[in-house]
Amino acid sequence: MKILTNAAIAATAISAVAFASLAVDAVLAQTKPDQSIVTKEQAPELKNSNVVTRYTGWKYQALYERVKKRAVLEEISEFLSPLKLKKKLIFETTSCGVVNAFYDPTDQTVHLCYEMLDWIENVAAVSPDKLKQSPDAPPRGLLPGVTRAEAIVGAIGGVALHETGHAVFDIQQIPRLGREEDAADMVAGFVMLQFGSEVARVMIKGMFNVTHNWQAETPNISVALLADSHSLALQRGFAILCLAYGKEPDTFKDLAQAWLPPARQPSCAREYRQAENAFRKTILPYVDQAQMKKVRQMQILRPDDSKL
Amino acid sequence: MRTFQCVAAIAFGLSSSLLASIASAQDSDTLKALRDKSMIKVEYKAPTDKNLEPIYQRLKTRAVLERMQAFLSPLRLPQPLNIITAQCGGQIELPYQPDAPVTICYEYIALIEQAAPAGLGTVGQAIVTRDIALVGPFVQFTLRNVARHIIDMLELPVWGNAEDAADSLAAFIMLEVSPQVAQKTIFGTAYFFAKTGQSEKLDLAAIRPHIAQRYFNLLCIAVGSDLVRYSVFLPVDRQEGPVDLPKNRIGHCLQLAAPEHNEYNQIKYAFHQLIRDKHVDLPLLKQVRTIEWLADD
Repeated sequence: MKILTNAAIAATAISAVAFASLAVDAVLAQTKPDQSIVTKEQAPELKNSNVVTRYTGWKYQALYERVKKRAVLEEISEFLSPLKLKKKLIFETTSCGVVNAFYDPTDQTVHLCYEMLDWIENVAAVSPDKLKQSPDAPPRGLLPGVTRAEAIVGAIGGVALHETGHAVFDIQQIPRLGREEDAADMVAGFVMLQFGSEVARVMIKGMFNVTHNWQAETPNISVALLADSHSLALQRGFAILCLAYGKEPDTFKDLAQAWLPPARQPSCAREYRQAENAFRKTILPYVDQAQMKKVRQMQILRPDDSKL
Repeated sequence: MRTFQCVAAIAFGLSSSLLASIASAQDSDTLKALRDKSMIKVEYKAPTDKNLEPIYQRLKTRAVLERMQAFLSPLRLPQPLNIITAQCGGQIELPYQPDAPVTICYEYIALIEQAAPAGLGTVGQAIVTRDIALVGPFVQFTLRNVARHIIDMLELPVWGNAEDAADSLAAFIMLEVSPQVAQKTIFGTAYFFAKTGQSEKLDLAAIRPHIAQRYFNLLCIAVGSDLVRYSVFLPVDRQEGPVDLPKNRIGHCLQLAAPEHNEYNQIKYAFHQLIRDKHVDLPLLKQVRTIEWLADD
């Protein structure tokens, strides 16, 4: 039951935040999101014929069934409905054998691994005193001030958004001057911030919490980590938090004070403007504005999300 | 022997051993014509620190900035971009300010000179002469800072870290001039990064990645552009060393199944889409590319 609820939240996060935001007319219009809540059944025609979804895998049977029942991928499809994709994009939940999520450009498929969902639920979103911790390693689990619900929603939504970023870059042939992985993080962070302050705080807190856990999993910074195509976990966390602080300093002031070193803070407004400029010039041209208005009527966080 | 010019001249500014390679009068005329069309403005600011005076004098005498001005002449910008050399109050680099000139600190050049080997040095399996160790990081530093300013001046869309974007653009330009220039500047920069990276503290919140990360990013782009030429950085048939491109990164750099997705081709595509096709005078670029910028005499 616990995981069922979590999966539902994950679904909500993935779908809602992620892909709806790819349109983000609101970003540019500087308007607040539509506050009216429309349930999934009420949602108007939200179909993207270029988005294909499928649930596979048997190892995590219970998780598989919950995710499928919750129609997580169908919601992703709805949220991507405003995006005029040049090719078919496949979303798949699957068992990967490792904690991961990835986009494969050879078949335009985003793979969301059950192992990753499981790790988030059972490590990153767990109170540290309930986890077996090595005394010599940085503690894993929830950071102070982050709820389990925020950790799950933010992490899964953030990961799904990140992979969607890769997919959109590839399929739409969007030029990237920055490194691919940081670029995908920036898409995720930018999108998280387009659905009002409440949603943004949940997503950013959850995403920062997961980067903290990734860092805790690899406390020794090796040459291989420095050479990796991803930035170091906390570098990623700081970059996303900085985007948020840059967009809404008042909303994120407490989080910045707690987690973001002062030396980084002055550049955050510029970093957010950079993301906004990139979105306007490279993704917005592919967004159907009328369809986006419909997507923005979808509910992002549901009442049950706060009861975990 | 119309070699050198810009980058070579930069080397002259840094190393007296290259004085023999002064460009001919004909070359000077060619460069002047390019400089006249350039939107880059240059200036040498005299240092107050007497220890930095020799660097200032060498750069000025050898017209290093004027050559960079010629090299960058194909760039079409909405307004002039200023490049200056200056004393930076003991800092090797000034914090980035969009409206400030591109500033090459004498302190940074002093650090390059200090890090360079007296004779021959190595970075992994690559052999680096003192001249290469001087020229490479200077060219990289100048180009990456020009790129950082151009990103803002042209309001280029940057997904990801803008500091990385500047590094990637610099690496791409270095690789595109000619294979010889590419190898010298990549090897020289790699040597400098490897040397100075050992002492740089890791600050995870800094906007600019650690120099070790920048080192591997540079190698990744280089290997993607020319696997054979830069294979010295790959641990093939030998144990992986600390300055080799690790196995976990090599796959991303090559993307053998789909090379169009490797990091070199990614920055190449972005450069063409966002800069070359819109902000470069192509006939002038063709002219610049006929000049052999860093040849051995």
